Amino acid sequence: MIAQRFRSIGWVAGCAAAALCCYLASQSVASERAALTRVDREIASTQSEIRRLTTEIAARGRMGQIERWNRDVLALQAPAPVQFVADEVQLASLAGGKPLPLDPAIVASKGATQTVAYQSAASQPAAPTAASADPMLRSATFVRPKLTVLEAPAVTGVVKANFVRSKPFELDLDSDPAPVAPKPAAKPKAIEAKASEASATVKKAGGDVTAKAAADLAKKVVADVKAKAKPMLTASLLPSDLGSLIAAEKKGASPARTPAKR
Amino acid sequence: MNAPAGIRLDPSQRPLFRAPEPVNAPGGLQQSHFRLMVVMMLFMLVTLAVALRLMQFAVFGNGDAGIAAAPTQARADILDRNGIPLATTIKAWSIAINPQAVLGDKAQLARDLAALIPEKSEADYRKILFSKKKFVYLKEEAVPALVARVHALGEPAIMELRVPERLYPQAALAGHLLGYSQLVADAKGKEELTGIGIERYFDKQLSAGESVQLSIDTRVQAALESEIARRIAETTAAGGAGVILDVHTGEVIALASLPDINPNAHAHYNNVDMANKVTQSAFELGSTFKMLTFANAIEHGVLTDMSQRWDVSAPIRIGSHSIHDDEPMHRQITTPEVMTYSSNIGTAKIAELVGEARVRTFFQKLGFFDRTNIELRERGAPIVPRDWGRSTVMTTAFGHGIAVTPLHLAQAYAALANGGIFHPATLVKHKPGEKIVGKRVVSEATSARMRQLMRLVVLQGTGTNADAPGLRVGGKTGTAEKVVNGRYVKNANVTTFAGAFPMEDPRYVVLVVMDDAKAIKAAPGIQSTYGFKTAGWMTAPLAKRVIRRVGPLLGVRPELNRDIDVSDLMPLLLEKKVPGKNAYE
Repeated sequence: MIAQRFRSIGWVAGCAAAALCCYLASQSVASERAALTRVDREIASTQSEIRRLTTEIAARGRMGQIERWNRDVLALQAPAPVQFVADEVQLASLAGGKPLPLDPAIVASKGATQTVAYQSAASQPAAPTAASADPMLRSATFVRPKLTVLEAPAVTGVVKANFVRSKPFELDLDSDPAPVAPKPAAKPKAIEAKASEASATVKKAGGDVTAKAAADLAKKVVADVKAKAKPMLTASLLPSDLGSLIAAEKKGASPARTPAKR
Repeated sequence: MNAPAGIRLDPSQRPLFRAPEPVNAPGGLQQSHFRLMVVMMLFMLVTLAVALRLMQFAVFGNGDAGIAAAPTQARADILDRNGIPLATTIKAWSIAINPQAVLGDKAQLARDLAALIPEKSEADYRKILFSKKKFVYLKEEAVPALVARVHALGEPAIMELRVPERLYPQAALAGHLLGYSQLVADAKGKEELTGIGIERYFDKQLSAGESVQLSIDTRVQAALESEIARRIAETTAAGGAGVILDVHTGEVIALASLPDINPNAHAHYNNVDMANKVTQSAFELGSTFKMLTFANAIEHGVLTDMSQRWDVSAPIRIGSHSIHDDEPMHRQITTPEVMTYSSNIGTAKIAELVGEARVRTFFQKLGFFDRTNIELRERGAPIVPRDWGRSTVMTTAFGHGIAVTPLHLAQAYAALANGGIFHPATLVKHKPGEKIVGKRVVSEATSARMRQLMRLVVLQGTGTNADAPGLRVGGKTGTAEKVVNGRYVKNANVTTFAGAFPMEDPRYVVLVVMDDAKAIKAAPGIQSTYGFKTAGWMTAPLAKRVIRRVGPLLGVRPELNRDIDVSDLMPLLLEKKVPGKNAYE
């Protein structure tokens, strides 16, 4: 009886619960949908931002601008045929045509291979400059595309930049021996030994010679030895074509300072 | 919830806890019954409405999601063949005002606006602010900084709007090609679409949001334009033009017409500047037509023997006119020599042997009697002779008395070079696997001979200055007197170089034209042309510079040990040039 009476209330409660469930479901769907829309909006906004930036890059790096930079600064030119390598052989020839190291086992069994003279092909392109006595200097050479920036010979510039300060060929051993003298400790000893030897000779020559004169002579010998030492020191550090270098110096070229004139 | 199940309508079953109805009012009971029914129906309706609305929300969402997510339909991009944007649409700022909604002091606002946007005076702004209008643009295409400063005035009547604006990131690059498109109101107020270039031709497609991918290569286009501009400056020419075609597809890789236009500011140019010299202007292209005459003669068996000799020692007289050579040879010359010396007399004699009908048919096949099919509205009609007498056949053989656009000639050269197939020029990039339209105009054998002759002209003839090292260039020079108002101008030339590379298997046709290029005097850094202003000195060096730059870009490697075999023709040239002598850089 009571159940009968409350059946209607049960129906109402059931309907209400069902409606509530539907409502909650629709609410959660709506919230998901809203989240999706937000993500879509973000994607659209990011895409438009990417587009804006791409356009800006395209406009700033337009071909006309690149052309202008090339004309004013880079000075790049169309590549010449010699700059293209057609095949592996041509590529290998650029390495200087050095023969590959031989297998020691073969060398041991057929020693004659070591003595066979191998002349690289005549068609091989010549090296840009003759082999230098000092490869370190060559590696420092830097050739710029515009020739006007290097007014003096490139080699002179490098030598001066590396080793020479203001007056490169008048080194004074007494005042500044450290940067160039290869054996600063050994040389003075040798000079002193030679000086004492000289004074001994003077003493042997005659007793009327005063001690002061002997000392002067000793100084002179020291100076001679120093003078002899100079070319030896410079020759060991500077390239072999020193004569042309000095000639270039005397002409008044001042390569170390040329960059400032640009 | 007011479910109907809760109400008992039968009076006998009415709940006991309620007070009994007064017995003396049976009509009142019926009335209250009716009222209850109405109330119940109302409740049911409301419940139903709520339920339906909920269902609508659940199924279709809350209505504004679709609007927010829909992309704005902006005009689509124009891209080059590598996908680089040549035209795009950006959102630009515009500043507008509703004078009716101004809250602040209008006089002060006019003063402030005049200070910020000095394009109009304070009086102008005052006029705008005190007008009855509801919307006036204060500044279109405003920069963001200005928008911020105007915003800082704090006037709510001022509107800062984002409006789509067409932008050409490469500025003047390919300006004639890209063009512009806009609606302009005519005298009756009816809007009409105007414009030029791709923008105008593909307007519908672009407006519908479909992008257009062109066959143009931006890098090649830039190289072509910059080299032509440089040559114009050197030779103080009136203008120049150039086109590079892919010989196997007819795709236009670059197309330049100088002086150029910047489509970002297209309103600043007049119709003369807007004219596209490659597709619109018809020129007499001079001796470049000799290649066509030769191809026609070889194709029809008129020229079978290359060692055949032609007497060019005396001019040909036809009525009052005479055909003569610029550098008379005073001897008999062989067929290849007719080409290398660019002999008008020799070519005229060959054309006479070919005959009028075959000459006309050949020109027809090459499309010289119609406009080209390129995707532009600016396509010029060729100027062809009305009656084809003996003199017409002879003069058109070396490019006089017939005027076509440079694009016509480039198409024809592509056909001669590629094995004999004519492909109409197109500006749209070919999709992979797409069928390429083409028709045969000359045989493979004729094309092979033409390739030899083209190379021979560059190796030994008038085109030596076009010989880009290692790129195996072949072609023909052409010098014609400029026509102004229908009359020849004696001291002004239109000089042309039409050619292809690499000649042993041509891939690209290059055609460059200079309008009234003048001889150059030697100066520091500038090479003299020794008083010449013919194509060999004006345009051939330009072609060389262009090809040297674009060849490697297009994947043609310069190779010094590779070339087309011309050894069977070489012995037929009596005087040979020393390679590299008098070469013009």
